[in-house]
Amino acid sequence: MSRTELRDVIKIRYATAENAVFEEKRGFISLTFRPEDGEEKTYDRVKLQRNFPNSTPEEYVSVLDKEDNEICMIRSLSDLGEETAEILRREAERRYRVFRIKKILSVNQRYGFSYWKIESDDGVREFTVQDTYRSFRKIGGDRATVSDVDGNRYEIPSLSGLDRRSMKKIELFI
Amino acid sequence: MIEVSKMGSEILPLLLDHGLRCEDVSVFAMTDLALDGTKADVCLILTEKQLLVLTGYVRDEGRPGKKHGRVFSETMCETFDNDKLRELKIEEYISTGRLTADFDGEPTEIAAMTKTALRDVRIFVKYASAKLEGREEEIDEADFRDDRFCPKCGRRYPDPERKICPHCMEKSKLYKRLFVFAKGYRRYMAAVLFALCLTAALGVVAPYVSTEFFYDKVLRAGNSWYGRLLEAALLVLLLRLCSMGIGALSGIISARVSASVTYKLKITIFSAIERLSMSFFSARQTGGLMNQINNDSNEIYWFFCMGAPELIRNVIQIAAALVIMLLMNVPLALCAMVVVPLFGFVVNRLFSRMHTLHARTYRSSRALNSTLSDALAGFRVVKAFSREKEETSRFNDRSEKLARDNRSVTVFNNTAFPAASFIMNLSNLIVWSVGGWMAVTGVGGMTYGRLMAFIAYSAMMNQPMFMLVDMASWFTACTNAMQRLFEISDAEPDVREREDPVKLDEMRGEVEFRDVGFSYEKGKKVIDGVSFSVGAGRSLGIVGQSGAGKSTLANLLMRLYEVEEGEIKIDGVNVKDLSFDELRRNVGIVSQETYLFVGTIADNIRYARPDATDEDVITAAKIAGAHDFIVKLPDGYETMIGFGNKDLSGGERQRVSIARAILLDPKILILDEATAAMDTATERMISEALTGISKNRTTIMIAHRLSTLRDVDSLVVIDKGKIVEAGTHDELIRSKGKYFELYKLQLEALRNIGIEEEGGGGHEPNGAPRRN
Repeated sequence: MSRTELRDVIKIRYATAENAVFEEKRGFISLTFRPEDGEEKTYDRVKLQRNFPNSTPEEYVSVLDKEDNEICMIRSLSDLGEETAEILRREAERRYRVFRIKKILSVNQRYGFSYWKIESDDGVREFTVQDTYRSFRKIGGDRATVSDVDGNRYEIPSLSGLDRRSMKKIELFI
Repeated sequence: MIEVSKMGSEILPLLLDHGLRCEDVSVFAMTDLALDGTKADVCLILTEKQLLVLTGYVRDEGRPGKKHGRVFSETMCETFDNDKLRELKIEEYISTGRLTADFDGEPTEIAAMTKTALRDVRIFVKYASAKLEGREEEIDEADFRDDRFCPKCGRRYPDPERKICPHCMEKSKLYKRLFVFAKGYRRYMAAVLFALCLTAALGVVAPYVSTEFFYDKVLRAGNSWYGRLLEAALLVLLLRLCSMGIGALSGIISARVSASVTYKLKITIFSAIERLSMSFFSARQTGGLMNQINNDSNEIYWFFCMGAPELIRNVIQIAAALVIMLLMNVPLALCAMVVVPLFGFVVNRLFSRMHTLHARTYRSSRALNSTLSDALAGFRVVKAFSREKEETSRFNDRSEKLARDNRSVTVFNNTAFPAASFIMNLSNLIVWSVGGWMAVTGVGGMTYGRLMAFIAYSAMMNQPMFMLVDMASWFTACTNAMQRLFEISDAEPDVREREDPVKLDEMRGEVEFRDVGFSYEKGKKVIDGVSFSVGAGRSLGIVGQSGAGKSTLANLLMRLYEVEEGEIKIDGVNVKDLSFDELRRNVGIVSQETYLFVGTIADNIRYARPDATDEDVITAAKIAGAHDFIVKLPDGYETMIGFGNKDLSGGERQRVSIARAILLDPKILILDEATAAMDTATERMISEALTGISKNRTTIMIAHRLSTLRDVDSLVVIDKGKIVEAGTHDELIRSKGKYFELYKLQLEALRNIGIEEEGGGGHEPNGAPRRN
């Protein structure tokens, strides 16, 4: 790694409406990016990585190439114009898709393990949680996620929005 | 056909619809998500010509309750010709995944899945890729053995590593296991049980003597006991004394038994912890773990010392009181018991609430303890960034939460008990009124004394029941504690010693890594296809940026973790086949994070070989460059170090750890950034001393500072878990690859601060940067 590259490492390259073109084709995002100090280049499959997935999912989104090297960063999705933002939103949503819990039908605890039955945005789901206390994570003030034994993540978008019966079942973990 | 997912009966008609027979299918799997991310049933069917992706839903046919079999209603069908299909790949996301491929030169989505179906899709990809590429993939039985579910109840095993189904495991087994620890105390336990029965019996007799006997026999004329007041009083006194004495005796015995049982339990747990693999610890906070073990064993101690005897005594007493009451007066006894179901119901409700509150308090106290140990351990950082206020407020928050939880437990205790006792008082009230009426009218031969006795017995029945409210939660807490402790002692180490390990007469120290792959987290490879070898007595340097996986290689060689792919061999023997003892006696490691135990410096150096003489210790310290600073300490080698004692500097600690490893005199010595905290001159000296003694020792040196590695025979450069370059220093410089870049960079850094390489350039044999 030479010294000029070292300077590159500490510099943040932002994608803007002027220097970046994102396109969606058959469920894959491509990027044509022209950095200030370099040549334009096209990447046919890029990945979006939210840097603050919980607090500001639409800000500071990294764009990675196939080898997971960062090409550039998006300060805010809306910087890129509504049309592009919509494409990126869809892509990010795919990557960060979790099942949203609407209602908790039952939580059976046995020896620290638990068996859950929930109503999600996509129908009823049942799953098994290995270490309930550790798998239940509160995010910010009002959200929470549970991860099951396979690593699937389920999100409770609003704890205060849960009905009383559901709340009672998870009260212990909060 | 390779049937990765089980092909249900509903699939066969589907195959026919597409003009396929079962024999046409070469690989079959199912996933559970449509490409738009909604729930669906998706079949992946690979035939000789095509890959079919059928999306739809499996549903039960016919009316509910009547089994008619299941049907697959197809909503979408996509086909991909095999000859245009390349590079089946799975992209993993947060909670889902996507199967993609290169189809006709274009990236294409094939299917989606949740992490649950990921396993099947992964296996599908493995065999399908082989088919597409025309390779013959060997069938691995393990791919088709789905042991994720309990065979008894069909529920998922909550821990994939431990095939234990909590539903099919009985609670009583927990207690049975505890009794294994009580072996050897059977006689004491029998004594305690006997004493408990005796106290209970005396307890039952006492009310009779002080009520019915006293009022109806002693105070009423015409009885043989009439007027013998002193004797009656003495009798009562004697009864009380006896019951007190026996109670005290059984208390002492049970305290002793439970203390030794919990002691044994703690030892078992501790040795279990020591036996466990590294991965167990990295997954848990150590501070919380210790707290948990201590609290849990105390919980068990108190339950068996106080709770269980009390429980037994009360149960006996309730039963006895019940029988006596029934013998005295059946209708009145039934009256007294009217409230019992209501009471039982209330107790049951309280029981579950109590459990919740207790668990929450427990959690808060754990959180508080972690915060405390966190802040204390990181005290220097807290001070340096002057974050005392924030740390205090963090502590305050946790502390407040614990206080809140404690308060709710207390409030609950203070409201639930009176509520329960009110219900119990109802039963007293009933006995008073019905019994009083009986005594006044003389129904059923009720006398004043008998009524008094009855009331005493009903209280005797009620009071312990009332106490059962507490007992219930106590019992739950104890069961939880036991389950947690057994969970630790049951946790299987992922690295297990072979039962009949291979014995090497003398280790030569030849190390070979062959296609080694490893990941700490499933799916994220830290080491990928690493191969290299070091001849006996040779030295190897491992270079790479931080996070490249250098230390992981050392951990794998030490077998602190188990390799997932490939193998590591020492003298041609797989490390898995060597005994831990042999392996660790012959492989010494000095890691970056040095840990010194509380004790003298000599103790710490002697840690691996307690029988080493003082001279050995000094020699080792000299080689490690530790002797010079040790002699300057007032207490020399007997200076106390470790937590709460003299603080050694980072470099000094490293030198002591090196001395510790040298004293072990291992055939293979791993120095994992062992000299990183030292200045270059000291490092140079130690390195020379080590070279001097390492003639027939294999040395593996891990460093990111290249000057550390100037004397090694060969080098491997590792990047993102893969070996990118290998060779001698000169070869690597000549090939102008990654190593050359790193080298240039470090050289430049030195040049910037005015240090020049002697001889210039990178072409002198020992050409690492050197101090002027």
